[in-house]
Amino acid sequence: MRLGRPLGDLVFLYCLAAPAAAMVLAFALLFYAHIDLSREALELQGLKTFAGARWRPSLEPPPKSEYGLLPAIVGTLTSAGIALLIALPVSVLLAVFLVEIAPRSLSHLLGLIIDALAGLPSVVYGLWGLYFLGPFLRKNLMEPLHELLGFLPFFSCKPLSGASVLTAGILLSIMITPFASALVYEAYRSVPSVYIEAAYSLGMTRYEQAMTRLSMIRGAVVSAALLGLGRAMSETAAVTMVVGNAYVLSPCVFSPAYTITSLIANQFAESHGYPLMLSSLFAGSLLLLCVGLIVNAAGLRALRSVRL
Amino acid sequence: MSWARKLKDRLFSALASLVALAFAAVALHVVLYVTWRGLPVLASEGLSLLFEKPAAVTAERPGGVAPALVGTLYLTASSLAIAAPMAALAAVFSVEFPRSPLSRLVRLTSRALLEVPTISVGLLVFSLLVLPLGRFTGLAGTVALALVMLPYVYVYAESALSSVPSTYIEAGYALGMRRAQVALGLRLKMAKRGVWRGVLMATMKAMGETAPLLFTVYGARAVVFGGPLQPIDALPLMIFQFIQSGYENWRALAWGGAFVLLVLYMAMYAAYRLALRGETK
Repeated sequence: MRLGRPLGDLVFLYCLAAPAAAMVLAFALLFYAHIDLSREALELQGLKTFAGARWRPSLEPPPKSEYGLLPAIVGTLTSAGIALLIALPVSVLLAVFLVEIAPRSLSHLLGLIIDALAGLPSVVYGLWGLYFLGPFLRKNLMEPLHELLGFLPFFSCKPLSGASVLTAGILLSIMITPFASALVYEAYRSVPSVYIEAAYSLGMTRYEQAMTRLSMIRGAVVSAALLGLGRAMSETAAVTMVVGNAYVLSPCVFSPAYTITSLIANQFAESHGYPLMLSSLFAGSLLLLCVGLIVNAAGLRALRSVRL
Repeated sequence: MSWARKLKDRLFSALASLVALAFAAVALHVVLYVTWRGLPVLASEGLSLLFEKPAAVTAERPGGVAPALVGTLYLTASSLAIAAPMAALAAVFSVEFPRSPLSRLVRLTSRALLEVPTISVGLLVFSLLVLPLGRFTGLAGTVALALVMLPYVYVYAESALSSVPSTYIEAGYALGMRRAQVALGLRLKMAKRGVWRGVLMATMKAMGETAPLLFTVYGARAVVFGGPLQPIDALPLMIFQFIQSGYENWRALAWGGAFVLLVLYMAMYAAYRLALRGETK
C-alpha cells in the first residue's frame, strides 16, 4: 500500500487550483489596472480629481484643463439615495405582503413576475424611463411640486425635460426593488414558525407580529439596503438614458445631471485625445469600485448576522 | 382588542397590499410598454428585422438587427464557455480544499465582486485588450462578459456544492473512489441543479449587459459578423446607441431590437424556472 497522496489526486488538485488562481488574478488585475491608469490624474490634480466641480477638456496641462468629478459623485449619491429611500420601504412591504397577506396562488404569480424583473436588461428599463417615466413624472410630479414647493432648494428649478436626477432615482428604485425584496422575503420566510405561533398566542395582531418578525431579520433588511445601494450606484445604461447628462452641481432634483457611470459612458469616446481625461475617468471608476466593494462587504456581513 | 390596535393592523395590511399591487402594476407596465412600442416594428418589418443589417440613416425603413442579434448570441455563448467551467471548477476546488489560502481568497473576492460595477470591467478590458490591439474586438467583449459572469456562477455553484451532505461524500470514499471521482462524479453531479441555476442566472445577466460592451466591442454594423478579432455589435448596445440617435428609423430599430431582446430574455427566464422546478425550497 502506498503512503501519502496518490499522484492522481495531486494532478487533480493542480487542475482545479488553476481556474481558482486565474479568477483571483483577474480580480486583482481589475484593481491594479484601475490604480495604474488613474495615477496620472491623481498625481497631476490631486484631491481636485474628486473635489473639483469643473470639467474642462483641453490639451493644455492643468490648470488649463480640469477634470473634477464632484458633480458626478453628487449625482451618483443623490440618485442612488432617492432610489434607496423609495425601494427599501416598498421591498419590505412587498415581502410582507407575499408572505402574510397574499393568497398562495397570487403570491406565487407575483413572485414569478418580480423574479423576472430582477434580471431584466437595464436598457429595457432605460427605454421605458426615457419615453414613459420621464415625461410622466415631469407632468404629474415635478411641475406640481415645483409650483407648490418651489421655495425649497430641492424643487427650485423649473423641470425642463423629463430627464433629471429624480427620474433616475425613481427608475433605479424600480430596478432594485425586486432584488432587495427577494433578500427580505427569503429571510422573513425563514423565521421559525414557533416564534410566529408564540406571537399570535400572546394576542398580537398581524401588524405587531410582522413587526416582531421584521425586527428578528433586521440584518437582512440592512443588507437589502446596502446591496441595493451598491447596485444603484453601479447601474449604467438605464441611468445614462434618463439622468440628462449635464455637468452641473445643483441641489435641485429636477435638474439634469451626471452620475459617475453615465459620465464614463458618455465622455469615454471623447477621451482618446485627452490622456488626463481618460485617467480621470479611471479615477471615477476606481472610486466606484472601492465604494462598491465596501458597501457589498458590509451588506453580506449584515446578511450573515441574521441568526434564527 | 382595542380599536386603535385593530385599526393599525387593518391600515398596515391595506398599505402592504396597495404597495405590492402598485409595484406589480408598474412592473407589468414596463414589459407591456416595450412590447407595445416594439411589436409594431416587428410586425411591419417582418422577418427582415431579424435577418437584415440596419438601414442607412437616410432610408425610409429601419432595416434589421441581424449584426446585433448575432453579436449577442455569440458574446453570450463564448463568455459562457469561458466563465461556466472556470467558475464551476474553482468552486469545486474551494469546496474540496476549503482551508487552503487560495480557496479563501477566491471565496472572498467572488463575494465582494458579485455586484462589481460592470462599467469598471469594461474599462479594465479596454486597457488590457483594446489599447494594446489598437482596435475594438469581439474577443474583448467576450472577456468582459466572462468577468461579469464569473462571480455569479462561482457563488451559486459553491453554495450548491457545499450543501451536498457529507454522508454521500464519505460513502464515495468508502467505496474506494478517487478524490477526483468523488469531487466530479459525485459532488458536482449531485449539485448539478444548483450549478445550472447559477449558470443560467449569469447568462441572463450577461445577455442584457450594456456597460461592459461600450468600450470593448464598439458596435460594428456594416457586416453581420466579422469574427472574434473584429469589432462586433450586441443588442443592448445597439438599443442604447440608436435610441439616443436623432434618426427616426434608427429609433424604431431600437424599439424592435428591444422587443427581440425581451423575447430572448423571457425565453431564458422560462428555462431558468424550468431548471428550478421541483427544487425543495
